[in-house]
Amino acid sequence: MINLLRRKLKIALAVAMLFSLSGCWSSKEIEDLTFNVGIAIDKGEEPSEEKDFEMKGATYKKKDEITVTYQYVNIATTKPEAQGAGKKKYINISESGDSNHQMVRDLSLRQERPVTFLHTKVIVINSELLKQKSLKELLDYYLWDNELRPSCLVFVSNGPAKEVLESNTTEIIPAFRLSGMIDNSYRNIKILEPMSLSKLKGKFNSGESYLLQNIYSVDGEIKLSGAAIINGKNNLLLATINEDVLHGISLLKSKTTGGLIKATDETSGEVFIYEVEELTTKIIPIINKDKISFELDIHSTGRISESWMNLSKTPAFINDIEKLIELETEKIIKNAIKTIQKDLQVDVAGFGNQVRIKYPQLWQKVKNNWDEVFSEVPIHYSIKMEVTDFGYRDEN
Amino acid sequence: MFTLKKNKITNVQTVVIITNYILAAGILTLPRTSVEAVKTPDAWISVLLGGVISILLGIIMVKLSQRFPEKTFYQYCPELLGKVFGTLLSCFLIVYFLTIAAFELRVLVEVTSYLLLEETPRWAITIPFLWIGVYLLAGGINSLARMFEIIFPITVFFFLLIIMMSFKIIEPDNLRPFLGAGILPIMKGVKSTIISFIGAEIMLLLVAFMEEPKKAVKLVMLGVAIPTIFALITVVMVIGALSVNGVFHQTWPTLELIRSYEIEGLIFERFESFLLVIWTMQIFSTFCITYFSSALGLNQLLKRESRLVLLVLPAIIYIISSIPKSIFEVFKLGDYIGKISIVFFTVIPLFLLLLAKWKVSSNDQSSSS
Repeated sequence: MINLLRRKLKIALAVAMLFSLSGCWSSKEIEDLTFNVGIAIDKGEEPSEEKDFEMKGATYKKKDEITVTYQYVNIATTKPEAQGAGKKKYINISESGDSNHQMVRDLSLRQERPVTFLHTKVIVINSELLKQKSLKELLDYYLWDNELRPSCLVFVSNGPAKEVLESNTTEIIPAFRLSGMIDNSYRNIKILEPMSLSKLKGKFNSGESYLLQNIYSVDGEIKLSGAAIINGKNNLLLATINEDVLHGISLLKSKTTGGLIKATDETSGEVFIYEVEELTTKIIPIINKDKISFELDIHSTGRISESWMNLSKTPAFINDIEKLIELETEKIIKNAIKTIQKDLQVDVAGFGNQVRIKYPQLWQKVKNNWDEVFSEVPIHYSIKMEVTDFGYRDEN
Repeated sequence: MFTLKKNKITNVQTVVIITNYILAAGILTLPRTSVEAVKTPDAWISVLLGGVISILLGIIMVKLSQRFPEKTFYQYCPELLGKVFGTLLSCFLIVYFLTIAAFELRVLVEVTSYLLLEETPRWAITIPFLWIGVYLLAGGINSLARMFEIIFPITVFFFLLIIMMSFKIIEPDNLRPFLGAGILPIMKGVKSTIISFIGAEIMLLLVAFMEEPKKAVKLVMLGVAIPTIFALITVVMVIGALSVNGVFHQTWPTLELIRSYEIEGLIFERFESFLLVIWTMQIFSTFCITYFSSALGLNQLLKRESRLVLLVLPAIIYIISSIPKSIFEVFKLGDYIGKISIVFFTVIPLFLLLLAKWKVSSNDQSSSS
């Protein structure tokens, strides 16, 4: 009898335990959340709707230092019945203030669904703002928050950053368009290696200057063009460089994918295109009695992919066009080096990195004023471009 | 027919227990602690040296335990040192294991409540963890060892998968220069990396349970070498992806690495939850083995088998784990444990081994004369 009672008790206890297992403590229904996908940071300027609230006295104590635009996926358009209804797939909402975290929390005062940053793909920052406010401080909240992933990418916008997160068609979510465009990196040499938040943390600590991809925007269209140089000492924007300079810097960094060199034949004046198959740039630091100089050794193989003139297989001809390509490459690289070394006096092409690796002791001495040292060092070139084939074409 | 050897563990189980014991909270913070000490990309060499030293210490402890077949440290220590000192040392070891158990528990709570279950109360994370531990240990060392055998392959598979997927964000330049600042910083680093590998001390107890105690030296080498390789891979990958400068100031650099990439086209884009799952299992196994060791110690000191000990200890562990007020104090506690263990497990086993040898030889002399 007692045994039976015991058994029943045990079973009852086990069933009772099931109830305690059924709940999820911290769970939130996915329908009740809004997913932030992109953030744009601009100079402080109160958005008009916020001004209206303020007129009525609905505000708090703050300085309008920055204006942040948050982009969400518009959940209403993801339902099947709303497909093709001509509604935009995203919602942008702006807040102004002087603390990122405070602004994020204030979003909940203006809409019903709490915002999560678990899927934020991009952060775009206005270049004008970056001239005045340090990138490190602007991003501080996002760098160390537990929601935003360190894989989020950072860009600079020439012009208002919130315009980058606009689109003039309804199908596009601008934040996804931007992160997708970066994946085109293998198609074009003028797209920078993307800078994620986790890589930025390292840059902030190291004190070296670095590049961020620059974006232009016109009427809901955007273009990746050039790059912004951020001064590693104070994390302010130093200058923006154009696509040609960026092309040169990419060559210096041995970025091979998507590289084209356009050269012109002197006699006929026609152009031909050299498609880079392989490219290695060796930056070799040479130390002579504490004097630093660099030897640049660029070696590449590739093919002629397009030609507006007649080609020929003869060694003399190939030699000729290789010379032309080498000349053109040298022009691109010299222009890039002149811009960063003489005009801007900042090393963003990895010269210092090679000194750090090859001569660590010397690097300790020069690293604090490396940009000044770099602006004076002589750089020698040796460029070898080899044409290996003409693609499907076979010429005599 | 069913000749189940009670309270005996096989060779594989021995290796797995050592490995699971060493792999714990340290793997998430090791890249930071090693880089902060070394300050150059050579931190991985310190990790390697730390592992080698830990193996040497393990061999000493095995040699000591092999002199007393079928006896654990708690039993032979009073024989060697006399009742007072022996009991004192045993008590110290019990407290040491309890503190580790509490530390692991606390780190588990810190990480899960920050990254996974932000709004779950802390006790709701801790208490199931403790109770499952009690349930497991009620089955003795056999059930413990068999659970470890299940956990181990899962850990290896997922760990390698997740770490290797970070390959695309590795920049080899971050790992250079090799020996740029010479040997000295590496030696400094060993001090902090060895803390992560202290773990061979479990052999002081384990040898008594082994089916083939003669093979213990080989097994301890293997058992320490596996986590060393894991730690080595982790440190290389983290420094390679985040650079030395990026590892500074990261509370959990290994998690940062996993959060730094997204893989498109697979079923999962993000893998940090996988890491947290295997890592939770590892914390659980370290917790269980330390809890087991302290319970075993108490039972053997009191010279009686008592289930009560199993029930009382979790309460003590819970209290110790709630002592640190902030995460800074948690890490400080971890540091203290490491420092104490270095002193304790380098000096004392060697001393005891010499003492045991000397006692035997003096006994021989007295018996022959």
